[in-house]
Amino acid sequence: MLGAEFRPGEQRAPKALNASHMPELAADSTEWPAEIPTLVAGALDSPRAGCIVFGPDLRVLHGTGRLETLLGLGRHQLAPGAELLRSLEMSTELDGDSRKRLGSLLRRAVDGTETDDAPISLRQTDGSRTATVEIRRIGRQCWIAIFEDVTSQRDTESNLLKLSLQDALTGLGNRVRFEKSLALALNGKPETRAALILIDLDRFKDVNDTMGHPVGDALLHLVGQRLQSAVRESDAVARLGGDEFAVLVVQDPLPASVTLLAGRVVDLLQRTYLIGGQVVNVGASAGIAIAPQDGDTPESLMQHADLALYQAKANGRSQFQFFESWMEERSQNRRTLELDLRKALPLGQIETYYRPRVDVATMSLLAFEAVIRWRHPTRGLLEWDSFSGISDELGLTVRIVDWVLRAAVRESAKWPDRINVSVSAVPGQFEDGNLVKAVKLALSAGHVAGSRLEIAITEDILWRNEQSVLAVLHELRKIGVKVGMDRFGSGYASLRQLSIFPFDRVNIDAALMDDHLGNARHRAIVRAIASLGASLGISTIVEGIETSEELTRIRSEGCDSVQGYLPGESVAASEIPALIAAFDPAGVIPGPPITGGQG
Amino acid sequence: MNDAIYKLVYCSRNQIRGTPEEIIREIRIILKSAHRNNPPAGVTGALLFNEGLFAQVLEGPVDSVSRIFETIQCDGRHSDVTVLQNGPAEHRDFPEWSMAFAASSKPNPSLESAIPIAGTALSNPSAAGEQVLQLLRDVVVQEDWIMA
Repeated sequence: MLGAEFRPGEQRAPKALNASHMPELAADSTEWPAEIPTLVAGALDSPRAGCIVFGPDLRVLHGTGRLETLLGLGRHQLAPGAELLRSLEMSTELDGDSRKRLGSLLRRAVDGTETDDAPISLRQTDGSRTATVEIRRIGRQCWIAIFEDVTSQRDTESNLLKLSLQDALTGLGNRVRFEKSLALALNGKPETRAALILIDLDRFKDVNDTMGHPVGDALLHLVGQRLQSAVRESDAVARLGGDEFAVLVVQDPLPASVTLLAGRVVDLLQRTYLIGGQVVNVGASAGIAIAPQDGDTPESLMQHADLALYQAKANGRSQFQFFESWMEERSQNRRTLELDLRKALPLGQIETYYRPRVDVATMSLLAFEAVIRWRHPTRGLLEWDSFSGISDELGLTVRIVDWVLRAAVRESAKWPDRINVSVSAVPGQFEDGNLVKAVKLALSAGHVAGSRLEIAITEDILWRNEQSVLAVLHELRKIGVKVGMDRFGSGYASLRQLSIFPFDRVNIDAALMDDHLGNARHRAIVRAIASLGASLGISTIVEGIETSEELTRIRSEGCDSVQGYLPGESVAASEIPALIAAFDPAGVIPGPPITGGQG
Repeated sequence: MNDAIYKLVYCSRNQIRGTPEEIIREIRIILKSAHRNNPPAGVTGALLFNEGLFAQVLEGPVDSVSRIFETIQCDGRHSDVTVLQNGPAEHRDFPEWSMAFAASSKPNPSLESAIPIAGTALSNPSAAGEQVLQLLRDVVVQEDWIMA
């Protein structure tokens, strides 16, 4: 322990500058300017500062403040008359580089060499403290070196750095930090083994929506804790954002141990939470990619773990899934298809095909149902079902369906008036509230009467938002448009739905025609729907009839019309005149040749 | 202890494997940690143990019960935790117990009836919760024999 003079508690004590010291220093024949007490006092005013006053021979005139901790210099090394450079060499605290820089700074000061005004920083050997030093000439023969401890400032900065790498909600690392850890783990060594587990909560949005964001936040906090408790110290855990978490395993990332860990994580996270006295239940899905075989760069590993996570969710959630190469093929396939689909409409690859609907009693053509096809440049003619999912995700469905509506109505203008056109609506058209506008536009552009158009909906559309959908259907009805219900009997449809809107027809779901008419139960249901339709004034259409026996049976069940296989599969617009002629030679359309399906 | 009382009843599947002695050793550890952690948190309750099943009642300030439940929830010695009952309570059922204990190692017909509780838990959790509570009120015994 050094003398009392250097004790932090007495740093600001004016003792060091009091009269008893002054004469002693002044006696040393060195010029001692009048302002020095103010300067030194100023330097010492901060509890984190110290100073050395020295003469041209680099001998100490006076030293005080926290120099013991900052420089590691004892009292005698800073006693008046001590050689500063030699004392510096004895410093137990400064690292070699800092010592050298301070020495040269002191020499240049007394040599009269210009020095930078900016303070230089000195670092202790163990890096625990950082100080800055500034040297000023305070008299002709007198200089002062003012030291300031900036450790806490540095710590604040490093705390800020830490905060910028930390997720505030959970205290876990954030995405930036995790990506750094990942990059570090994989750093240029192709043989590095590491496992990346991406975790996503199931139904987290429901918690936020129904219980409020504070509960959601508390849940994320607990999830972070559980994750941390499940992993080893060598594993890195992070919250990447939202309800997405990640674990990086760098020690023994063997499939067997990673399987155990992932299983434990999925199990732990799906256990019940108790938040503010309320029970909260969520699940968690995880996707795993292992370096190097699943990817040797942070990007590829992340991407593959993400594909595996997607698969885990698709498999029914609350489970984990390792990455497999087919997932990438499928996703690439999908990406290509997405790019292609974005261009399909502008490039005229979307086509409308038409399925004939025939009256079972007279076998005359009643209508054509418009169906969507995509003439893909390399994959051939694709059915709507094979790309409707992607179309929905890309938000293209309404545009495609609106286009089909216009094309089909325009096409129907070329048919005999008694043959109607049926177009299916999609939920998006109801959400936008634009269906009525689109229908009116199509009818007026095609010069077609509303009574020749049938808009078909599926029961899930009605189920979503009954009141607003009903309002739209009534609007359509006002302009003469017929309304049909597709796939009746396949989903949530209740008989009540038949009573809340006067549908013109229902389309009996193909599933009920499975086993064709051999299945007595199915037959009974079909008969019941047909008779229900008859008494409600709703015509019934059956799909997928293949033989004339089935047709006879259907007729006897009381169904009104058939569509699809027996009367004919869907055809391009250009084939319609021939089809009309085949059914009813009198109905052949006179006039100019009919153009292709794109109208 | 004068804070509003919150009560939670759950049952879970016992995952402790081993000889009866080993199982008793684990139970002792569980009870010891309950006796250590519950009093400072103002939590009282009862634990029912049987070869295949745990059922536990925790009562105390809601924050303490939540915290303790979270620790319990992450414990690998059981799984399939089902909350049977939770909410504010008028009074404590086990005011004297940091964790009262009942086990079926001793023949006890009423404890045997706890087994079907696990089965009914999902179909009617609150009835099962009431059943567990009643059972524990009836059969809670000093844990002396197991802690001895």
